[in-house]
Amino acid sequence: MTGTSADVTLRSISKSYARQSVLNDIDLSIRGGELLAVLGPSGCGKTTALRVIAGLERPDRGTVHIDGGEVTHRRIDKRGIGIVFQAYSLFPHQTAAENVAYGLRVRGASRSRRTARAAELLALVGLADHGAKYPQQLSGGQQQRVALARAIAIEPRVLLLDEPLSALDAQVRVQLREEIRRIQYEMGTTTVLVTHDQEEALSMADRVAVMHAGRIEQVGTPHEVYRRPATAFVSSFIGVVNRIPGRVTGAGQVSALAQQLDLATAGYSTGDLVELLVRPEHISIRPESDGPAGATAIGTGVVTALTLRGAISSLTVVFPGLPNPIRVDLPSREAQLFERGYRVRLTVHAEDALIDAAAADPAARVAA
Amino acid sequence: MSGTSRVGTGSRSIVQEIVLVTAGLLFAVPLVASASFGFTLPEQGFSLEPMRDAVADSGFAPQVLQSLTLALLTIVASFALLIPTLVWLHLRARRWLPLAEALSVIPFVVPAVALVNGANLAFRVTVPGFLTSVYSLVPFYVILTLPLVYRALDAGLRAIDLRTLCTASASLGSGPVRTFFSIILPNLRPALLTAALLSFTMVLGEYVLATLLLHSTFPVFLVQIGQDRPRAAAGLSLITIVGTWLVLSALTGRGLSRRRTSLPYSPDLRTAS
Repeated sequence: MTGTSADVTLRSISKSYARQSVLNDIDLSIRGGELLAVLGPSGCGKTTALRVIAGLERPDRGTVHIDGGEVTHRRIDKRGIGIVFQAYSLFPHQTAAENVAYGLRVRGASRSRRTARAAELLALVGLADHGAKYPQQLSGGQQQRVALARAIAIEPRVLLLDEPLSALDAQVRVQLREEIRRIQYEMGTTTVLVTHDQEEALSMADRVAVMHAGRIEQVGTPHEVYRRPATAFVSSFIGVVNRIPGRVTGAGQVSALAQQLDLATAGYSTGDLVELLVRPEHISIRPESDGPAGATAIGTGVVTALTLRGAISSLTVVFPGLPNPIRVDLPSREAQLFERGYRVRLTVHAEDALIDAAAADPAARVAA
Repeated sequence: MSGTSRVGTGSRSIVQEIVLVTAGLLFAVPLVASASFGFTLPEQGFSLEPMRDAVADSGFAPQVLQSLTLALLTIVASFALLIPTLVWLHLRARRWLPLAEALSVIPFVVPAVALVNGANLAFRVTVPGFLTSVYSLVPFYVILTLPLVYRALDAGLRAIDLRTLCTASASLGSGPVRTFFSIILPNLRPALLTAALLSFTMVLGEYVLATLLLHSTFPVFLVQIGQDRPRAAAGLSLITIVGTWLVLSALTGRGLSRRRTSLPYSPDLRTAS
């Protein structure tokens, strides 16, 4: 089973509500057949971006293109899109099969074609035996599966998923996440997933667009946005990050915890107060007794806690004069070598670190 | 502490029962009295003679038919006016809903006499023939039933996620008209039934406007025959009340049972995904 795979392009899209800018000069290209996740915190404009693609919002400036054709002013029912909403959106007066067949009925498909297609799609989403049930007789997860089947029944050029899993409990969410990915892969339909759940975005998407304050901060594969965050926001929004106070001491030089580090300092001047952003798994740890630190060592601290998280463990390391402890993640087998009270040396992998302007309030420097 | 609580609960329960029984008596005693008066004759006991006499009256059938037609037209006109308006308000102008709700209760505070006098002044000059037709009552009845119909429909629209349903329908290629008839109206069925029944009941019992505008309807007929045949009037009134109540129960029950078919939430399904 294959679907259409239209390219979607947003060019210089801006949108404001009551003079408050929600989308600020957005440029985004979604490749045909890919699943792109738009990830960001509440209020960042991600849902508005999706509504602009759907035709539910008209941008103040900019254009929307689907498959090369401009659709900025085209009504939602003329764009060839399918939507699965966060809220349960099945028509309450129709059975699951009738819901799935609705779009085909609108298109004038024969009864036999509608029945066959509805049965086929309900089977695809694992609900072959639930066609005669009304939405209220289905669980939340089942309703969202039917909504997905209904959206793809019309073979949309673009499938838009507006936080479709956020109302579901954790177990169902994980299960449905995998199923949506499987179905999207089988159908090959260009899909835009809006979510605030980074795990959902990273596990489902071919590419992730991270949004913040109406702008797109970075677009890349899940691996790229996690391993090579383009901005401090992306670094702190995706995954856990340690924020270590420091100062720019020269071009490409940052002083943190009385150590000199070789880091990119573009945009900063000598003397600027900064914060070093580094993920817990990008810090190496070894006992102090093992010898002197390398060029990127940030100093010596004391282990105050060890938290088992399954395959990995987290060590909490306190440095004198640092307001917040540093978290270091390492395989649990290696973590067994450390105990509370151990003095340890930490080494930052400079290629995985970023710097950010220091927060005005030192108390705000909290490890995320 | 728990003893005090039980005493409190017990006394509340007694008060509730007293209120219920009192309300039941206030409702039932007049009906029983009407039945007793309307279906008995002195020294003869139970009799349908007064009823037969009233039904045989030449005015009975036309007035009943007239009132039923007026009720039907009122319902159609109310729906035509209020459903699109309320849907539009809920979808596009939610901030105006409180104002619309406040305006909808105005008919409760404008006396029928004032309404008719105003209409007389306005229409006798502008459209002289308008008030001579019995169907001129329809706009007045629409105004009269507005508060009830508005509330029933508003409650129905609030009970569904109108915006999401409309967006979902549009995303599936459905235009606004098809969405209105295929999605919105079917999901408003219980509210439509309630609104229709309230209108129906009100029109079937409306006397003041019809009399003031010199039109003869079923309630006017009831009052007229009550002057020389009070037993027949009492019997007919009772039949009207009980009949309307039965129709209401049947339709409401049907509406609810349709909803109920989709309401039960099977526990084994809830856990399944």
